[in-house]
Amino acid sequence: MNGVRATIAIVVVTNCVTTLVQAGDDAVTYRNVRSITTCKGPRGFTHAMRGIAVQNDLLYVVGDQKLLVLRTNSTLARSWPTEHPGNCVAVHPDGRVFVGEEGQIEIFSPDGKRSSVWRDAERLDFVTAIGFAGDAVIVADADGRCLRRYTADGEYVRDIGKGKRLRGFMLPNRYLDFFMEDEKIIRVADPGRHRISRYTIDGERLDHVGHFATKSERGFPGCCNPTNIARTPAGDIVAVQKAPPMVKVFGCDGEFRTAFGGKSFDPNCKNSDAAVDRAGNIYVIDTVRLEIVVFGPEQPHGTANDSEQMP
Amino acid sequence: MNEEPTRRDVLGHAARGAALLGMGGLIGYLIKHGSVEGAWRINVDQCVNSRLGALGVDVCDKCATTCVLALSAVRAVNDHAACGRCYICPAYFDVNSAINEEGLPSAKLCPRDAIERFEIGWVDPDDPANNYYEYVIDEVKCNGCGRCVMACKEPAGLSSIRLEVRHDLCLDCNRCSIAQVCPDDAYIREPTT
Ligand code: SF4
Ligand code: SF4
Ligand code: SF4
Repeated sequence: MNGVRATIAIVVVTNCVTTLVQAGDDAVTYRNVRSITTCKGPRGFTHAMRGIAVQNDLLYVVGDQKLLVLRTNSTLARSWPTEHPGNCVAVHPDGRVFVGEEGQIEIFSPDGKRSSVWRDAERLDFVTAIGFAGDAVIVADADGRCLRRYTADGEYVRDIGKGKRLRGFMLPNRYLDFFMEDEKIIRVADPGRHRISRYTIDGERLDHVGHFATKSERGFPGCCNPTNIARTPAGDIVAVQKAPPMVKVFGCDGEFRTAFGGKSFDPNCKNSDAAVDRAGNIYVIDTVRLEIVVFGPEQPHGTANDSEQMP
Repeated sequence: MNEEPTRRDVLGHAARGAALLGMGGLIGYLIKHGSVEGAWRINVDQCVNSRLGALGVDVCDKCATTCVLALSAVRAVNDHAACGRCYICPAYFDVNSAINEEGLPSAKLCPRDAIERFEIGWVDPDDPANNYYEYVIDEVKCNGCGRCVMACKEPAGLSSIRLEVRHDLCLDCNRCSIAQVCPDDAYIREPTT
């Protein structure tokens, strides 16, 4: 780590951000760039907005009983219905779109045609995250309190996070999120323990970062945080917490980098899913306002508070 | 192999327990009063301590302080079916107190020390964060001050704790002193049949 000279920058964008970023000279800072509101309303979501993914400059968002594909400029590219309300969405490198629901995973072609459904009432009880590692598909089953590893064809292989001396993740909020650090390593949020843990795809527990803290923004407050995590292109960990809602960024070794976004969300938000694009912009769901809050690294990538409506 | 109760098991047990508890209170009331006219009840969707969305507001302790009984007839109840059995419960711990050497808040939230914390199920001797905990309210000590209710409210907790009128204690005054001061019209009279 380079020598850290603490600086405090207060970024105020009209009516919008406001990020108090405390960071060293070597740390990336973020500011609230805009809110995407195109996802709410009659053509978008009216009740629940739960999962988000980004790939090739397209945002995939699920909730209610539909999936929306938005361009990063907020315009709607396409949408299609899902059988059950989607909890999470993930885009396979080959373009197929996986939607995690209660009791099943629906798999769609890039243009929205359903190609298959994986149903497994025991192991896909409440699917809240999906990831890909080579030929393996990793699925978070919040009700099972563990990750399930499947083959690319949907054949069950093993549980991760539960078993000998592993009693499953602590999920009071019924939400389990993870991301693939690489093809072998999984980073998984363990909110009841206030940790982010690492496992191999073979189920070996490696280590964890994170701790409980109310007064210091370096830790996680409340009964169960962080609820959602994502990975930046630089390999940093984006952790989203509730009560109060906030986004925190940690290095891959757990070193605290920055915290921001508290005022950008409805305070009642919880289980706010996050995704990061190639440029490092962080997209976080405001689950109460049914909007996507966008944070850009260092320099704003858009104008302040340019909430956009569906054209 | 998995010794943990499933979510459904827990919900089932707790729902039965809660139903029995509720029936017990009502039967106690009916035996005592021999009447089916009405009873005071707290509308938890109105009471500021439990009403979702009411965040960053002061706790209302009027149920504790205005009941004509020395120890209010209102008590906190934890619905174990809804409780997250968390390692760090914001209704049990004063989460703003200093963190002790175990990484836990050093003070409790309840001013009457009316909440007990028990490890349940298999206990990990090496990692206390690996255990589930049950939070049991001692109704003999509780005075219904509402602090734990506010702390457990979503999204910080799971809103499993609420205030209830204990019908075996309530004197059933015609003009309930709590109902007269309740700022949220949450203290209501309802027919018992
Ligand atoms: S209502 Fe007040 S006295 Fe009763 S358990 Fe909660 S904090 Fe303690
Ligand atoms: S009816 Fe009377 S005894 Fe019962 S809670 Fe109200 S004031 Fe207290
Ligand atoms: S007086 Fe009304 S608002 Fe206050 S704690 Fe009692 S029921 Fe809730």
